[in-house]
Amino acid sequence: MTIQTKIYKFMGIPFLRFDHNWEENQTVSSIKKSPVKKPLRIAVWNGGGMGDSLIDVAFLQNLRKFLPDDTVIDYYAKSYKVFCHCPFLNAVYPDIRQADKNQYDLMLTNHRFWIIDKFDEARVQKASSVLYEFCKYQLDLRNNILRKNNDNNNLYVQYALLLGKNRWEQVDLKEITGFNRYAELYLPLQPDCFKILSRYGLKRNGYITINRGVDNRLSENCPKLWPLEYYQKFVSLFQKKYPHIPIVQIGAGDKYGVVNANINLLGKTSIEETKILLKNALLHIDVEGGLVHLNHILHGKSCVLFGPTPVTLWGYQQNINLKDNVCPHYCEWVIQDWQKECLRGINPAPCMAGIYPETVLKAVTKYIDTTHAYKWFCQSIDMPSFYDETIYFVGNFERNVIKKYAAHNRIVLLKNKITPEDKAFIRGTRMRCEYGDIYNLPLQNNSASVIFWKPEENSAWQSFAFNELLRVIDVHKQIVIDTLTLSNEMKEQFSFKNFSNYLTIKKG
Amino acid sequence: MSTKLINIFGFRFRYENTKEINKISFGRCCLYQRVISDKKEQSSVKNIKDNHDDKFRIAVQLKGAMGDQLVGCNYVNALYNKFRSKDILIDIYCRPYIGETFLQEADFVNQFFLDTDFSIQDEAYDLYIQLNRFPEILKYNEKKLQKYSVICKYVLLCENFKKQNAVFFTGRSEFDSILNIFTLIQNKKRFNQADIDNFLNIKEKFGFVPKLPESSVLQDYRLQKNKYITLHRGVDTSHSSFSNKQWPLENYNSLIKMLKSNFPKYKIVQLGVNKERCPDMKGTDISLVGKTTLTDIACLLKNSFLHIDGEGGMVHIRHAVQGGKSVVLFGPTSDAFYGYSENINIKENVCAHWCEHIRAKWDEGCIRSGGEALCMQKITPKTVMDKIKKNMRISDDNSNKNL
Repeated sequence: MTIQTKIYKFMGIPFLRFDHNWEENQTVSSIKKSPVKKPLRIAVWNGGGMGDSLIDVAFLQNLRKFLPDDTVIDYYAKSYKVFCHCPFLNAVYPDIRQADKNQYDLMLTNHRFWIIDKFDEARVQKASSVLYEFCKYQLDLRNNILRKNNDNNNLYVQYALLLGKNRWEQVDLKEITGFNRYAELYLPLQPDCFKILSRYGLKRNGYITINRGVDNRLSENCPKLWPLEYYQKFVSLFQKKYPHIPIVQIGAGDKYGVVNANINLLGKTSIEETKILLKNALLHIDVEGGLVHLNHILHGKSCVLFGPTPVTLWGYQQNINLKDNVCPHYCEWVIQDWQKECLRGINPAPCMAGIYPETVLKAVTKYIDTTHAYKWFCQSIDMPSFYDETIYFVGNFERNVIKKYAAHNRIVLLKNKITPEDKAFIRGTRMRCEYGDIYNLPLQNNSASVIFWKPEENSAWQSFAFNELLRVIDVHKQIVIDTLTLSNEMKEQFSFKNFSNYLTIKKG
Repeated sequence: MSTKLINIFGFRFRYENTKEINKISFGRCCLYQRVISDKKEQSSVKNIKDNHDDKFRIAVQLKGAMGDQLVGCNYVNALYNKFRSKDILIDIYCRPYIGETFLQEADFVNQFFLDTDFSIQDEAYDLYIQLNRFPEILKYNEKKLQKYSVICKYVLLCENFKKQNAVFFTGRSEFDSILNIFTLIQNKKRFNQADIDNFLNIKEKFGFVPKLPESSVLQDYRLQKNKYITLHRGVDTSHSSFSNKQWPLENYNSLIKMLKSNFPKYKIVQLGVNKERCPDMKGTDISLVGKTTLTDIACLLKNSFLHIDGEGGMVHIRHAVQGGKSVVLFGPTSDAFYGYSENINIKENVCAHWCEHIRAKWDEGCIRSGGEALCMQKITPKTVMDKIKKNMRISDDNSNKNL
């Protein structure tokens, strides 16, 4: 390790820096410069809502793979707070207008399509041929399809739909970076925020969340809103049918109304706590909006009420997507003010008014009545063996343990921070490092064959971690837990008198 | 009208001299033809009367291709019916031959001229309207306008609409597709797209039936009314000859075989502007490609048992003259937007969205494949024939031809 590296390590985390005093300082923070060469610096801005930003950031996480390690990516967005713990972003800020353009080699604005505000072609091409090709394609797309018009979101929606792409794939229509709708976004959770569940007596999968809201700049006339009386009716019907499942209303504030939920958390939770609430809910009910996209990234399930926006563009296959086809076409971005009121001048918008509370209840009932708690079987074992499997390692396992399995299996190390040492460790091997942590694994439900977990010592949240493992492990496949740091509370769950080195858990 | 027979070396040539046409033919072949019209002649010589009388004069410029022109004429007819006053005169500025063919005896038109002669500088009118997808008020005589409350209301409506939707009036093609969506959401289609707030209450069945000038095309080619089927494969001459909207030629050839088998007593007639743009289809009984005037086309379409075409101008002509059903093969354009309900509109849902106007030169190569449109290739001749058999009934008495 060089002296410079030791100093950087002593000074702090090399990748992430979130300026907590942003509002006070109002200046762009100073940038660490490599003493050897100037790294590529990229600024990305999104003026849209949280949903748009989530997709952007997922794209940037994927883009990192094609960039030199020292590339700086700063992200500017209104919903910047959601991303303050993302290790693959160097810094997050609320407003691009504060940025010093001179310090960036590449500046991108996402309008669904990309507007390239600044493009140092030579430096970008030298740093990454993939990024260069991507930027050139975006320029061509804007000139050719959009005819250099920045206000033509609807045309771009049409183009994406024509090519069979959804909103995620809009950011990279040609999949130059390989980014598509199945991409994962690592959004770390703050374990301390799990306290909110116990504070309100909520259990994982024991409650549903509900939201009524849109971008705060919009009024009650926004055509995306489901009528408030419909919410009330639905809540009343649901409470009658499922009195044991509390309804929790979440959201930034009560601007769009309060429904008669069991627990009203409007304006009472931080974004980190909201993530925990969504993650652990049985179901989230909402219109198409930021919380639905956030829930998707947290691998939660939502019942989404669609109206002005197309399901094929914004809908997730895993969700319950409801839509009334009263209008022959979506109206998103047909006019610039499409969100201010219904294009047809009807209030409430007929597309939303056509989705009745009974219809929603029916769809929700169908889902709830078919879900069940995971069954699992455990065994205490000294050293499990695997062959030709993809094994995910979560936690601080010893390198020799990982190497032992790497000889005959494909290894993926899930880390919330990928350090140079990690990269050095996997260099020249078939092993991979991906962003992820135990509370939000970047894996779809029932998709993993083998996961090794070494619990964090003295962690009070191991039960949540275990639930997350149960979510991702496939049926009849194995979770392997290092019992050394397993908490007593967890050990009680498994009912063994003597624990060997590992517990293997199979999902039934 | 005079017809002379001329004998040259034993060969008989016929020379016809009418008010509208000079023509030399040999048997059924037309060797030479010149179209003349001295009745409401559409020429560059404007016959504008002095505008100091009590009449309120309106000039309407129609933009776009053949279909747009006809839809525009219908709009003007609706406008006239709404204003309905002997003091209101409407002049139409349209593409060549439109006036002569479709507006000769139209009571809602005072005069018609070439669209290129339209100018708001000439001070001859009290109200200037340009009609593309939506009406745009270019200029008006405010003093005279006050006397006509209905016209006043109409002008205000148009101006408010333009104010709220300025982007629709930029004339930039990238917004045309959005205009289609805007219209569909209003539960409207192309034929009544321009009817803001349903002020004119335009219906799908055109409010006027053009009285076509005389045409001898049926006699010349011995075609009986409702006893022939017309086919066309081509697009408006303002577009490139290759278009995504065209069905593959070999499909037409296969369909013709099926038509002959199912409708043996019907003649198969190909229409088209010229051989370069409309190559010959195999198996037709008569090819009239390059041999007809617009009047002849309108007459043929009016009397045809069935017309088969891609989405385009001839379909609009047949609809306007109330000729009956057409089989319309849709692909890059929206059937929901352009389709007339009386027609057999066929579309295969290959793509999740239409591609009309999504990019510049959208019709010169499939956006997805780069070559011929996938959506058109997917429509098979058998599908078309099945739909025809389902919807059409062969009639011996020529009276009821549609189911």
